[in-house]
Amino acid sequence: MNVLGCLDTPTSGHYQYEGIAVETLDADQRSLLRRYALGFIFQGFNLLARTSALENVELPLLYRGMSRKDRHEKAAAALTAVGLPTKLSSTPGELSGGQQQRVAIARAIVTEPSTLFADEPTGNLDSVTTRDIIEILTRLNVDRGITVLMVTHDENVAACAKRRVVIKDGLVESDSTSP
Amino acid sequence: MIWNAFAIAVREIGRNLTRAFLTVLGIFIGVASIITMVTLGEGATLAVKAQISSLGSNLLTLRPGAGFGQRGSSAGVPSFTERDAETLGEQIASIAAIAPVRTASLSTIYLGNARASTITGTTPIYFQINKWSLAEGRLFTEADVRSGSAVCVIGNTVRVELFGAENPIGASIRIGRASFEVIGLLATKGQAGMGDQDDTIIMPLSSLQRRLIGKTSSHDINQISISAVEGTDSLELIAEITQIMRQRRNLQSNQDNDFNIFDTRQIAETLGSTTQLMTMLLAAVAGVSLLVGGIGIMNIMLVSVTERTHEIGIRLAIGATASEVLLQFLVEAVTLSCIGGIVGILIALGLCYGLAQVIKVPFNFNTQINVIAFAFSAVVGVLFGYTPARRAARLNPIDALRHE
Repeated sequence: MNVLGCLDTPTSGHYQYEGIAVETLDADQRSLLRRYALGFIFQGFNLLARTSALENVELPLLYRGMSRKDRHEKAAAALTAVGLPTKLSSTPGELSGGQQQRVAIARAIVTEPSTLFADEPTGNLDSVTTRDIIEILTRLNVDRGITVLMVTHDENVAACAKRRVVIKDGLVESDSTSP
Repeated sequence: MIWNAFAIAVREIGRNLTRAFLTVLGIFIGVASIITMVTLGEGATLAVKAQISSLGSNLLTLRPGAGFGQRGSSAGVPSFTERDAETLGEQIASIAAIAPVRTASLSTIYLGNARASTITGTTPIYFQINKWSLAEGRLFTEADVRSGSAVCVIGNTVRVELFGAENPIGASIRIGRASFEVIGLLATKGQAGMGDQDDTIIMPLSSLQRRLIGKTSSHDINQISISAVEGTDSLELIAEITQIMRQRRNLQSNQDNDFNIFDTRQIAETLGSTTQLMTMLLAAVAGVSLLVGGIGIMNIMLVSVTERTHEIGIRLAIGATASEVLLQFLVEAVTLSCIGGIVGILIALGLCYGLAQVIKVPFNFNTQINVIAFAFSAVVGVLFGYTPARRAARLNPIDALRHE
């Protein structure tokens, strides 16, 4: 998963992302690929502490060199899309796990990536919150056409996917597509 | 990109003010302590040097009694005669000038103001030996000494206390039971570690003897001031003086000297080497505090970068390049170091200014030490802020993220 999200480099093998041989890119080029094409959601949220939800979501836009006004607008819109229009100035410490994960999703989608990698996004959440998060991810796929690639141990979560690849001990066990 | 990094850096500093404060604290304590120590040390050195040069560097003073202070009490020991001074001057070639001195403490009155003053009766050469210069009026002459004229020269402290803002030249003051005309005002010498030198009234020896104390015996000289020819070995000169004086005072070989010789050159040399030692000591202490300050900065920076490896991972994961993250850390380190350096310099200057007044040393601004202290702290701050950050930024984002 980390290799797919370009967070890690493969020790061996070959990985092409939209025709780009990722293993041939240097660290800066992989950073730019993450910046412009990929979004990432972690099990542990990975938000900046002591930093408001709005500023966390603005962060990727800051590295794109976007103006202050545009950043505010886009970040506020992304937070509204994940259902947190009233929590713009809350810091991670003031938010629940589900809310933090929504901020993380907002941060991942604010750049309008073509692919969203989710590494056990619901692993730290209860079942009700899990349902909310899966709903948001499904809507992103349906409404915005973002490919969502998710790793999970949860059967119920896996059941929501259009294509399921089961991996056991490093080997592909089955690959099925639901209608 | 730089502007962007600057904006991020400033925001990050604002986000953790405690960390920023500790970093700045480390830097400014280092900077302030060095600057304060060196500035005050130099002030003290200057003060000591000024005192030494105001004493005169080749001056010997001959006094009755075996030594200084209580032990060398002159009670019961005969004073010198004017003839003693003349003989020494005639027989020793390396004596440049010699003046017999008789002092007395008497009350002085001018109009309503009265005070006790030390009156020195001597010859005109005394001014030259003791490096007195004239601020106003004239000094007395050999003719005044011969005639015993009722004239005197006063120091600045006496002028202030008796005359205030009035011009003392030509005024008539009452000393003891006689009246004297003030003919000259001496230039200020200041404190010299032996009381206020400016609290003095100097008049012809004969005037003091005849008009004030009455000549009772020829042994009425309680001090002889001697200046040596430039380049004289003062130990040799002291030996010559001792030999002649022992003879004149009829001391047997088993008797100790009943007079002492105070040598300002020896004092000057001792003080000079002490001051030099003190300066070196201060430099060493300053060096240590600079090092301690540097280690303090290093610690804060290392700890904060370890803490922030996770943050570096997040930034890398969402698409920041390593150089962007590094630039942010560099700007943060530079900003904090500069703030610390500037605050340190300001506090040091305030401290130096205040302490210089309290311990009465001149305040001497040394640009060099300010620049060195500032540069050192800035370099340490930047080096230790930047180097660990660079290591973290080179990690794969996922490794940096896993770092807890």
